[in-house]
Amino acid sequence: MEFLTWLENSGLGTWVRESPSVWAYTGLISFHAFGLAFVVGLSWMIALRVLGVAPGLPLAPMEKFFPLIWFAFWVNAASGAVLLISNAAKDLTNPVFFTKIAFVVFGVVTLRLLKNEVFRDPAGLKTTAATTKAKIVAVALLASWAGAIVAGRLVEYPVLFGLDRLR
Amino acid sequence: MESLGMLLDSPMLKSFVSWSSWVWPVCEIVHFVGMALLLGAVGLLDLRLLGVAKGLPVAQVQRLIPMGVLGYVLSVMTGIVFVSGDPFFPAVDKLNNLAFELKMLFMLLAGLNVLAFYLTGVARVANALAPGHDAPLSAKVIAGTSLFLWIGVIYFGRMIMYADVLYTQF
Repeated sequence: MEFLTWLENSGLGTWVRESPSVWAYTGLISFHAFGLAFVVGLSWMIALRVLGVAPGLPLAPMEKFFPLIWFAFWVNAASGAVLLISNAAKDLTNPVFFTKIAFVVFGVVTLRLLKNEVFRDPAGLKTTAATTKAKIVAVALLASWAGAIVAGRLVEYPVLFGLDRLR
Repeated sequence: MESLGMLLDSPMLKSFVSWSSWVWPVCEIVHFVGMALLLGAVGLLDLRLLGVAKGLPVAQVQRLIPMGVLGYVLSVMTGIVFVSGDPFFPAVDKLNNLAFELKMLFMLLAGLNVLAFYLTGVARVANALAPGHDAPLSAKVIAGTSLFLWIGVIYFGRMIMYADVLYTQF
């Protein structure tokens, strides 16, 4: 706990919270929102296609979106890490925050699984219908990132879970 | 501005929000889901027009747009709850908020951009694009503008709570 408070009060943590710079708190949460929009938005579109939305859209070329999705993910990982440092004592004692991270891990895992399942086999891509396994992974992906969004927002509402926020 | 603000206040929505402390956060969650759907669908089309994943035929990419429209509708509906249904702040506070004003402006410009896409015939040219073919410059300008404007909407939306900082940032 003292370590967490030390993190929060570190130079970086304090600067993030108190600086009006566009690279501090407001910039970090903005980049976190941009990353969220592209990671969740684009991966949801691929998952929806796998589930049969826009069935005329060929699957194979959609693989080209993965580098951007991963780039956006790392923008969020980096901005999230710095934001976490500035708020370490509150977030790392909040079970809702850990739930969010768990959902993010599921999101990354399902994204990798989907990529391997749908795009690994060139022969399989010649058909436009996805395998059943791919569809299950696609549903899991939709749910994982939805969970990350839900938990991510609820981190700021610990009172809803009876968590005492007064320290 | 005051009277416009009073028109936008909704006692019905305010009592809805007050009914449970879950209402506001659930609306925020739906607002973000809508944002992801909108940016996913529109972003995918914009990226294709800008040259990413050229193997996709543009006309088929457009079939994802209804998901984007769904996202847009979800975001607008919950947005109305935030403006008109905030039991602690009157709507006029948002109208006087620079970040909110810029968000609305960027949304308006994004809407005009969409109109330009369809009404100038660029959409027709783009839809005829076979896989592998590059979109014309007009389509790329519209696509790039679209991405810039919607990212701006996200940015100004985020800054509504920190609008005072906005004045010092640019």
